[in-house]
Amino acid sequence: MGDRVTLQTIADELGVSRTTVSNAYNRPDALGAELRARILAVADRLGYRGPDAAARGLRTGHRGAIGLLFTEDLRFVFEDADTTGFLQGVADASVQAGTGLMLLPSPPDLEGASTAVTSVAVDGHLVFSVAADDPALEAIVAMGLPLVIVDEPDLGARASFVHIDDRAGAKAAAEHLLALGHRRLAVLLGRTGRDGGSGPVDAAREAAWTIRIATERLAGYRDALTAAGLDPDELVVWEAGANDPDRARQATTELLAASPDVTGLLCFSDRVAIGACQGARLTGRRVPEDLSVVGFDDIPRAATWDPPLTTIRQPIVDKGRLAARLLLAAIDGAAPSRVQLPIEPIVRSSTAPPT
Amino acid sequence: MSATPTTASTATPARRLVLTRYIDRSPAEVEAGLTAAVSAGLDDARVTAGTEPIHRGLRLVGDADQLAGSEVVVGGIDGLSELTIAVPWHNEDAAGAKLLVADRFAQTVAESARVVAAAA
Repeated sequence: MGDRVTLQTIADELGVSRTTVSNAYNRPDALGAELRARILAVADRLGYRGPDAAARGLRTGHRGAIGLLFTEDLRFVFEDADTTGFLQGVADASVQAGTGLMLLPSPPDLEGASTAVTSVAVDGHLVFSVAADDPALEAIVAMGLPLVIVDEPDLGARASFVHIDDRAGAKAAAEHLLALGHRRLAVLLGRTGRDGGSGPVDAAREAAWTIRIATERLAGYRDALTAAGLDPDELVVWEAGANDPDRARQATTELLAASPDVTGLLCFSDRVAIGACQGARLTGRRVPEDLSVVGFDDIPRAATWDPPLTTIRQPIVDKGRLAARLLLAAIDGAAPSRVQLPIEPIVRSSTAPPT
Repeated sequence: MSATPTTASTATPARRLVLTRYIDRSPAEVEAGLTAAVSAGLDDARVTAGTEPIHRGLRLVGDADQLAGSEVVVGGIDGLSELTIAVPWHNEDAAGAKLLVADRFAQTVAESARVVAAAA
């Protein structure tokens, strides 16, 4: 391998100034088409891939890209339909604004997280559903760049915030089962914190959750029971440990073994609900005849699953689109803002009256 | 197991789009200039709706197109106002266009409210 090719390397090769070469990339109207073509041809021959974004950022104060922090493994971003939909919305807004998009996974330790988020040149950050104690979030907040948080955590007026009314959505889900006549309900949660814990939930465990959505949705489920004159403490609460069908399948078999009289299962997400349906079948139960299952999100697979899932729809693509727009506005100097997007209960075939 | 058609439930209280903007002025200052700020937002949205007073705010009445029935309310604490705009949401509103109209309306009202409050 030879020395690293820079703007100066190309300038020396052509016998022009470094500024002239730089203009070929950053101010193409500042030089003639023939000269620009010669510069780009030499750059291509030498293997030069373009000006360094971070260095350009130092000069212009503008990086031309936004960062998107996920708490999950990056592979999950492309597996989970809900996350993919969010990414689609972000990409829509980014393309319209001519802005690049950089995906940032969240390393588990503060040092790694700090390195991960500070080593990239971006104008601001989108944070998609990370735990309140996530070290990457701490590093991002410390950077002081424009910030939009989606779903969680809620930093109040310190950052723009895009979310849904999780409590109302969960309440609507539970009200649906109660209206069908179910009285023995259980909740199957996905991720409630960074520890990925699973199993039955008691008060001490619940108090340790760092995922706001888990707390909000559980409160909503309990609201419905209270409004129906039932004891909210009778609600069976179980963690799958992740928003993952495999983990949910295993957790469902354990939940139903511990509480065999449950007839209605309220799931944290459609992915959890899909695993729950599989787990119910493993225990010999039919959905919805023996166990009604309600999801959350309305991912595309919810409508095609067997049986099609009753769920709470959230506008995930719009959520991504709006979050990116708010971030771009914040980069232009807009003050932090909050948006609560509407939800919609969708009734399909995974729920029925108890037999 | 056969699939049955999808049916959406009737509207719930959660079926609203709620946008909040923060303004570095006291709620009293922002509330005093709210009518002018909302008028600026309606002009920008090119709708001819009127307004009627509600507690700590205004409700859009008349022909407000995608913003019909919206409520603009001022809250917050001394030195930091929360301008909340609640837009009714219906099944046919699933497209993103209404979201963008509402977001722009909120932004315009907030910016106008800030300017009006600062000038008072």
